Amino acid sequence: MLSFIPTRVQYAIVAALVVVAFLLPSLVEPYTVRVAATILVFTVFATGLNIILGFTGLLSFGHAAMFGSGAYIAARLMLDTGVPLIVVMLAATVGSGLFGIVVGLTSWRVGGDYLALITLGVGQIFFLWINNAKDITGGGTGLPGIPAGDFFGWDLAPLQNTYTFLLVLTILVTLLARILGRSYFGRALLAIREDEVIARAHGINVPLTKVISFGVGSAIAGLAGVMQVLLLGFVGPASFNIEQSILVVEIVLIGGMAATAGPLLGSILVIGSTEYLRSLADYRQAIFGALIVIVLLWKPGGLVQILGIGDKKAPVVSARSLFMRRRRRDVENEDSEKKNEVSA
Amino acid sequence: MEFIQQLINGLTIGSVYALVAIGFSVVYGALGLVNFAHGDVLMAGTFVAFGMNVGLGVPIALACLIGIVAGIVIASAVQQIAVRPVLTAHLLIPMMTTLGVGLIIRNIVQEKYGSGTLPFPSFAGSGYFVIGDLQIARAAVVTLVVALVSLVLFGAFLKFTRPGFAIRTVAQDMTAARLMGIPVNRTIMAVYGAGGALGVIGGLLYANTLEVVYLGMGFPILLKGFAAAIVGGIGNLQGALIGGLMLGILEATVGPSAGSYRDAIAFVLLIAILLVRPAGLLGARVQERV
Repeated sequence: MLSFIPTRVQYAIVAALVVVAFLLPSLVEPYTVRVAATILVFTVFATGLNIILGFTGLLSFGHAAMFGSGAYIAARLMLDTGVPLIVVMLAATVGSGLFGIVVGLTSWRVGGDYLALITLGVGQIFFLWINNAKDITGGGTGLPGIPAGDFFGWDLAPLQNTYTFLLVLTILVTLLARILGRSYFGRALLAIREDEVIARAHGINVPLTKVISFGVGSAIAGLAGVMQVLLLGFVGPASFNIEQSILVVEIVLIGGMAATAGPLLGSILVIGSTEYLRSLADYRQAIFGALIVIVLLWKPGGLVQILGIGDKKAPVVSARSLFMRRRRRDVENEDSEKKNEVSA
Repeated sequence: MEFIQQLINGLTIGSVYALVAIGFSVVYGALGLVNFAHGDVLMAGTFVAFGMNVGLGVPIALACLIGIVAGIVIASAVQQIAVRPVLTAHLLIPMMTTLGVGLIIRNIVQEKYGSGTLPFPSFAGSGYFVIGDLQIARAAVVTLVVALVSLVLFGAFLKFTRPGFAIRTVAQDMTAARLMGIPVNRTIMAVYGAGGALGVIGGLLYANTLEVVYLGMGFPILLKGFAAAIVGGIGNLQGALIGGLMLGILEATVGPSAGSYRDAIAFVLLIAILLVRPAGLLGARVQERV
């Protein structure tokens, strides 16, 4: 749709949007800023999942556990110790990353739907744990009253400052994900997604690369957990249940897999519609369900494909080839095959 | 005696998991697709039976039958809307579209009945059979008998009828089945319908045992059925039966000592079994060929 715009103009538009994003607190009322900050948190969260799901093609249905471990590590450190924020962020990121690596180790043995189930199980066990380990996590009531903290003397108590801080983090993470996606590592991930056997034949250490991608994706989700703590000043189990894991998968799918802009676009649509369709709260789930079905039936590449603003190089091309790929059971259905050809 | 008592309780809830797991597994076995709407279909079917009986005064047996038929219709509709158009896409896509349709179904039921817990009129009646020291609830006996009969009927359906035969051929090789003149699209619909019917039977038995229906009942049952199906080897029907019974017995015997971590049992079992035998207990060993 927008692909006719020259790449340079696109970059200029992105730069302009970033400037607008920085000016947002002085342009709109606090409520909108809060919604925007929530969108940023979910953008980072989804960027983490995008590495695992979009690039490596591993199904992770328990990503809220990684998000949650980051948030709880941050909350405990900020409540109990006075360490600087940068240390908190590092600890939460590394902690979630290690957790992700442990979960990712299971991908050595199982793949596909089974891995989806294992991660779902890990997410569920984590959710039970945070509800029951009252000494550490505060149980069902969570941990309220977490101090706002400051970043090298920059006070993060006012919403405006928090928002700006989150925006900087989001931009850094998005840039990192873009660089990572275009590096040797990113291409190795895409190769694994396309065909593990061929990837192995090309000298990629498939099991190790999978585990590293799990670790990186979880570390980023852990950072999103810290961002959530900074924004809310509170952690509770409700943010880390299975619905949240599925929500973030929806964000990645609706936004567009393996695309830089995917997580942001997905979060804007999903979180934005959650916040602004409150008058339709009774029908929200149905609208949401219909949205998923329509987007995925119409353009499986998500919003990035609909808007036509994806990277013109490898990632999106192979994202399409992913959807064109025959499953191992050699399913044939002429109608949908034709449709796929048209959309490609 | 205490142990046997718990064993029977475990078999009862396990047979419900097994029904749900088989409804789930038959779809996976035939098409290789995960049906995330399964939980919502069985919830909606149970609610239809509930509404027929309580709202319209239809006798409970007939109401349950209508509920099962409704489950077949809803499951076929899910197939038509969310699966048929994306049959050849990456397996994640049908997973998410069925999830989306499931959300719509849940929302519709919520509009009609709200999200509270409603009392379900038990069709087994209350009371116990006493054998020696054992007390066996009538509901448990009914659950076991109905589950067993449904499973035998479903097995016979697959083995001896023409649609059952068609399902087995489609599961083996869809292209060859199409070339042999088997109506593949209709068969896929039959697969989903059969899965929906088994799911609703499981849902009705679950509601009957606990004597309640509620909006959120679908997802937890789906997760346990899902776990049971995978433990047994997904797509393998005997495996799903064994997985379901195993899960039920484990929950009844280990559950009380696990306390609030009871719901984690299914997943610990799942992770443990998958790490030892990645294809499940009875799953075929998958050999990757180049």
